[in-house]
Amino acid sequence: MRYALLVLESPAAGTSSQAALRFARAAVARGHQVARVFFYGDGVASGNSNSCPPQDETDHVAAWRDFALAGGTELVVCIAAALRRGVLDAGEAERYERAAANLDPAFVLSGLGQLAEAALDADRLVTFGG
Amino acid sequence: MRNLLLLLRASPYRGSRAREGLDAALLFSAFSDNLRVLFSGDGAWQLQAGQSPAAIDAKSIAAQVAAFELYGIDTAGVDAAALDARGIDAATLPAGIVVLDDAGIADWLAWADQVVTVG
Repeated sequence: MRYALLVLESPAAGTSSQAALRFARAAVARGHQVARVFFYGDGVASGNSNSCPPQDETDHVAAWRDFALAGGTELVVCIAAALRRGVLDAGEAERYERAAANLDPAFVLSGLGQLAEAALDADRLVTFGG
Repeated sequence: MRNLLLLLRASPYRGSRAREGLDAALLFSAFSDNLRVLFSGDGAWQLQAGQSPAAIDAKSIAAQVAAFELYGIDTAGVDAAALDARGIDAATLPAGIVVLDDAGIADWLAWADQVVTVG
C-alpha cells in the first residue's frame, strides 16, 4: 500500500510525531511505501535542526532524517506554517532577512498543494496529532 | 476523483490550528470538486456569529469561512450536537452551512474515501 502521513504536533508537545515515525518504519518494514510525510501546523518543528535535545533523549529531527535517508520518503514541511514558526531554509532566511536558516536538509519547504496531492494520490493518508 | 472530507475541530483563536485548517480547506478546493468540510467539537466555535477577536489582538477567521462559496466549497456542515453543547443557535450560522445530526455525519463519513483532520 502507498501511504502518506500528516503530522500536526511538535515532538516536544506530544507523541504524534514520534508515533508517525514508528508507523512509517513499521509500514516500510512490511513492504509498504511511505511516499510523503507532510508536516503542518506545529508539526513543522520536526524539521527544526536547531533543536538540541539532551544526550539521553531521542533526537527527533535526526530520527526523521535517518528514516528519509533510507530512501523513498519525502519529508515536506508546509512553508506557510514554517514561516509562522520560524523554521526557514536558506532561501526564506534570505528573503525575510532573518539571521539563520534552521530547516534540516533532509526536509523540504513546499506548499499545501503537496498535502492535497497526497490526500488524492496515496492509498491512505494517516493524520497524527489531529 | 476521490471524495475528500476535511474535519475541522479546533477553536478559532487558540494558536493557529483553526486558521491553518481553513487555509487547507480553501486550498483543497482547487484540487478537488468532491470536497466536503465538517466542523465538529470546538470547531463549531469557528462559525459563531459576531466574533470580536480584535479584543484579544487576534485576526478574525470569519473572512476565510465566508470565502467558502467563492472557492466553490458548497458542501460544508456542522455537527448539531456540537452546536447544542455550546449554545450556538443554528439560525446564526454563516450562509450555506448545513446542520448534520448523527445520521447525517455517518453519511458524510461513509461518502468519504479520505478523511483529513487538519483544523
